[in-house]
Amino acid sequence: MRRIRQSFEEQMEKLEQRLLEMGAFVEDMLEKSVHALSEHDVELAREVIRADDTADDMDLEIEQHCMRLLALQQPMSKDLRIIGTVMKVIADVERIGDYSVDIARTAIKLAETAYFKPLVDIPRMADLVRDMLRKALEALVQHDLQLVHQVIEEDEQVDQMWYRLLEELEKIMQEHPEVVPQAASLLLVARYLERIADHVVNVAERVGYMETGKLAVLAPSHRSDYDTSGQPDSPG
Amino acid sequence: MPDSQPENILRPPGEIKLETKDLDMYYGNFQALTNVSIAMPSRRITALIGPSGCGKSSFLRCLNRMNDVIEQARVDGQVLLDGRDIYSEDTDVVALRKRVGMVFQRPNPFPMSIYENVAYGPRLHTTARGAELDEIVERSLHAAALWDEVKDKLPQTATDLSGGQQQRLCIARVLAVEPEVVLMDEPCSALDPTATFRIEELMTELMENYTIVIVTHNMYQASRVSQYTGFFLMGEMIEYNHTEQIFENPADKRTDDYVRGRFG
Amino acid sequence: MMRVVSAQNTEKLAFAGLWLCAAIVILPVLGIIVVLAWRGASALSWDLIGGGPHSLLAPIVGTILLVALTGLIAAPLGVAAAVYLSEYSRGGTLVRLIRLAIVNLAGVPSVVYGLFGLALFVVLFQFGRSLLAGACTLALLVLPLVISTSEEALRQVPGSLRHASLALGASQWQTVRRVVLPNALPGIITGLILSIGRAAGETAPILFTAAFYSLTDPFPNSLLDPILVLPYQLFVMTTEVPNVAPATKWATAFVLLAIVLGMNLVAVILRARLRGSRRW
Repeated sequence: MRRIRQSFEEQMEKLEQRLLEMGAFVEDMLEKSVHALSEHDVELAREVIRADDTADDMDLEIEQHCMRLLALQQPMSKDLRIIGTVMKVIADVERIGDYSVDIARTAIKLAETAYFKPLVDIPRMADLVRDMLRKALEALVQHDLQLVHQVIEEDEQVDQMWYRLLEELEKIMQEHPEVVPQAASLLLVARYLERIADHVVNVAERVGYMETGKLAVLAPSHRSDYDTSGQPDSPG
Repeated sequence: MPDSQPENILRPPGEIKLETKDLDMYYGNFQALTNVSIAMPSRRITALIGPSGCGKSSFLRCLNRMNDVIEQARVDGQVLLDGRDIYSEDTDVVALRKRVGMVFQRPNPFPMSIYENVAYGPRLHTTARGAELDEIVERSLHAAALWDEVKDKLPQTATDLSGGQQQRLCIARVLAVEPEVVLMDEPCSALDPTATFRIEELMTELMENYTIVIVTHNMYQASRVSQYTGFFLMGEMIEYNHTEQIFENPADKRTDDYVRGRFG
Repeated sequence: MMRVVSAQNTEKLAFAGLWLCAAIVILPVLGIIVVLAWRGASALSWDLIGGGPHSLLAPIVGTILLVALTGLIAAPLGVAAAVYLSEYSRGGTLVRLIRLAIVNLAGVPSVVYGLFGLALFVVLFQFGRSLLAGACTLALLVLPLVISTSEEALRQVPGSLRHASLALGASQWQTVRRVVLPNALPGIITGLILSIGRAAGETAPILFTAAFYSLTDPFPNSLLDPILVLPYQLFVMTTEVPNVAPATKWATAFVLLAIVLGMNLVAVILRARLRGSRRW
């Protein structure tokens, strides 16, 4: 004898499963794009660019699945919040895929350039961001608020890394004008990683809403009263 | 007798039309309602949901003392209409039922003409006859969104109408008495979806002039039409709040299980 | 192992058997009518019913008057009692006693009614042997039947209609008067007609209370006058009076039967017509 609404529950589980798959796929894109950048691997970079089509397909497929569940199953309460959350999260995940493509394009652009120093910070930042993404999606599927808080904390670390890298690259560009092209590109890549982290924080915040029913801005950096003075790219 | 506001029971802001205090109800030895205390606001739609047999219809019948008709029924506690207990000794039950009307689950028009059905109440309670009565009948049929469909066949037998039309006729019949409250006991459960939506639309219109309390086993209907929803389980009011709260983020797990369809 | 008789054949067999049982019922009725008509053929003529010697006009009129008065007495009492039992009573000892009384009343032998009627109406109330005494006695006889058929008719009215009326602010009595009674009327009326049809054929109750075999003035001039009635005529004719042609006796029986069957037929037709116009 099946449980009440067992087929609906199975569909919800399948939805979360597909989301995890998309997350894993995009995480893989990110990893490959940064690897292509540090190893000057043009073929790998091209693979990442092609993969974006798949990521977009997954986005649409999951969205359609959500709409169908809304139309046909009349979900209420938490079920409704889960579906709403999934719909917003896939948008963030899809953007992360797009940023990975941007990193891959940069890898192709710098394919012939010898780096003035080996890339260390950027891959480290990328590892942290990938870990954040994994945790955020895990939080969604496991309904784990602890993981949400961890993601928020890690985002602060990512921000720190970004500002340090910015400072360092500014200095290098002032002292060695001949490396400005690669430094500028690398600066952009760091910025992409910081933006990716931001999207992951969005995901984490939506998981928080899903669990508690309260919409909240959890990350300090997302609040308008965030004190940016003393940071390299702030006006004040 | 508990004095404090029980948890998960909201007292709606604004004017309260109908209110129960520690209402218990028994059928012989069986306790159908336990300690139900809720306030139903004026000119709003309050919906009562819950699984079959949870007592919501019994509760509704307490509000116009239709339970008096049932031999074994006994009521304890208070039901306040505009602050006055309808179960007090000096209550005129007939006058009460004029103020608090009821629409039943299965449409039950009298085997008379459409006109006579609607005129039944006014003939009892007023001296209106002839043209004055005609006007009351027309007004009531308009208010029930039925006039256009029956204006040319008022002398026809009411039982010739379709199910949805019959139910609207029953609503017109109630409105002809000019009540303040309209109670509806699963008014759409015997009707097809189109008729159901029409009556839901009608409820929203009626809300402007009447206080409406509806019992429904279809929680989606409650979510569509009501401003306040109460969840009944085994004779107890488990949670009573704004409809959005009940369906988006209920406080009690039992309510949550019910609205998500996980009831077992 | 093969079934000897298939399900389909069992069905046919059952249908035939049941049909036969039902058809058998018709035979006695037909038989009675045929025998009476055949045997009384020679005496049956309009003379029999109209004026002339051995005319049955006075007994026919007497029977009709008796039956009508019985109805007039039994109807309001019986219907009112039925309304009380169906709409107002709430169980309890008194109601149980009343129902017990009704059942017992139905079981009282008709000759006992006759004696009771004699003691109460003829002697005590001093009505004498009269139309009135006979009608009162017969009213008692048919009262249980009127009550039970009326109650049945009232019960047929769906509770939902009562609830609708009450919920509109009608009192119990208003509900009964405006909704329940009008809708139960077809059933009540047919029950009434059947009841007085039965009364028409009773002999024992009117034996001591109303009827004579012959009267100087065969037609009653007031309620307190005695009357001639068909059943009594028939009874006396066949047991006491010599020299009455057999055909006359058969013909008298036939006329009585015709009146009773006629009334039943009216009841059936009336019910069918009244029922057709009311649906719920």
